[in-house]
Amino acid sequence: MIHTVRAEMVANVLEVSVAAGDRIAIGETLLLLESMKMEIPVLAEISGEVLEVAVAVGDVIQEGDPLVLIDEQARSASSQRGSNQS
Amino acid sequence: MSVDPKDPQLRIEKIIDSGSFTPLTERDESGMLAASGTISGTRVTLFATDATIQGGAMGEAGAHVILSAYADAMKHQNPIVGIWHSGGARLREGVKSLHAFGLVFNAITQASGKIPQLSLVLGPAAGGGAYGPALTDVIVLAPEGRIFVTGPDVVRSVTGESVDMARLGGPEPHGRRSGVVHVIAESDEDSFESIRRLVRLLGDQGEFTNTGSDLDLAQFLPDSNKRAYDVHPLIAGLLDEGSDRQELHPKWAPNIVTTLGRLNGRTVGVVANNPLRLGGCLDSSSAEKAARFVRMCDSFGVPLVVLVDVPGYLPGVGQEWDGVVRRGAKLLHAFSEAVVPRVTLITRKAYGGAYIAMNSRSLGATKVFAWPNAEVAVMGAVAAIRVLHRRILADLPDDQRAAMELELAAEHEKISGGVARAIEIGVVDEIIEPNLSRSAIASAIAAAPARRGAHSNIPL
Repeated sequence: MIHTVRAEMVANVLEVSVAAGDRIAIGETLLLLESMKMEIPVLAEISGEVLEVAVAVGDVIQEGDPLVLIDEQARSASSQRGSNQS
Repeated sequence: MSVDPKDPQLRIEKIIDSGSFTPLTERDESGMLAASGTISGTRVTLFATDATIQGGAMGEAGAHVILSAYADAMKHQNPIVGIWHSGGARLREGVKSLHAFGLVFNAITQASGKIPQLSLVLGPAAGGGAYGPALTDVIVLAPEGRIFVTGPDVVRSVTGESVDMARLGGPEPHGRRSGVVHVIAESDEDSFESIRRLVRLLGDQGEFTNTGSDLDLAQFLPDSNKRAYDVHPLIAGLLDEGSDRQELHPKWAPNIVTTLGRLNGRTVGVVANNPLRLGGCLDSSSAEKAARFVRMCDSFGVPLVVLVDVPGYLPGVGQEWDGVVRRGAKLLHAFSEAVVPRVTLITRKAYGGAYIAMNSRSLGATKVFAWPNAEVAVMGAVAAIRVLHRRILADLPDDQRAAMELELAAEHEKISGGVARAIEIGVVDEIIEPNLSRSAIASAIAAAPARRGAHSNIPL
């Protein structure tokens, strides 16, 4: 299943940490955004393979803009309870 | 002979302590069953729709079963759990069944804020079956649970929208978008455990018995001041390890976190900005989410711990049109009204109007703590001096501007920002070290009179 990670708010793209073809795990940093004078990492909520990174460093993104497309892997049996990744 | 998994007694028995089932009503054609029992020793009253009869549809007789459950729960002043799997009103009974639902809504509302009311939705809960749970304090949704006012067929015939039950009212829409559901369970078993946890947390709040050990909570913050982080590990560090903890609305308005847990043995409610999401800004949904949580805790006498790291309100046309003024006002109201002990800890920054809303001194906080490097200000120092010294900065050559900004910001912080100034003014009571924060917060709550708000918990 393909998931689109979207921008939650207006921001500048400071860093792009993944590229198409990368395998990513839950909690991994995809991008680093700058908004409200803060550096806000965008973390993966699912694991899978990056299909496309739709933004580049320096882009100004608006709320709802697609950022990264991820092909989600079949859920592994190790999916933990609760949302904390601590 | 195997029992139908939709059997109401079976469903009740899966939640309560083994052997504690005590029926309050007969098993009959009413389509509803009420019972009492215990959960980890705490008495509870429960009722369950009988989904083996007419899909759990409710009429007059079923409503009276719920009313007797409420009478029992109110008499014993214990939590009540409603298990829902109901297509709504019994059509054959006509207006009588509408009247019956109204009586149930009224009973739920009369009990609101007096006894904890938990709803478990195991199957489709439509129409009145949706509003019953919606009036209670917490809704737990099992994987097959669906909540909607009108089902897919009606939606399609009226609006032309083609949607299935899951997309209309399943875990995804209610967990992330609507805020209708507080807890999304991963399995039926998980949903039963959530109910048990909530009953323990709200029905058996305990006292500050163990002294607990302090740990350095600053370890959960990143080194850089500008860097956003997930606040969950900080909350986990604050609360007792290995004891009951239940986050409410984890996916909806995730820029604020509302969690019930225990601090040195006693139930507390934690409200925390989460910088990882929207930078931790307050917005209309998060203010509303926190306001409802604060009012629920206040009505049941659960003390509040407020962890503040907030850059402000989220700016934008969308927010204004979404009613951030009206919905944000709910949080100001909720904190101002609350009489439970409520302790604030400013970990990093508290800016502007959002500073006020996060249980500030002015709203009547029991105690406001701050960590040594915390900042309380109208806005960040750099942003402030850019406004205050716009002309001077504009006249400077580009290569000198950054240095000047830093200099002005440092100066500005001295007179208006830093935590020392906040203490001087009296908006922060005490600077505490991160490694002593747990015990300082627990002591501050324990020292305050244990009170409980005398109000209902309207589903804000």
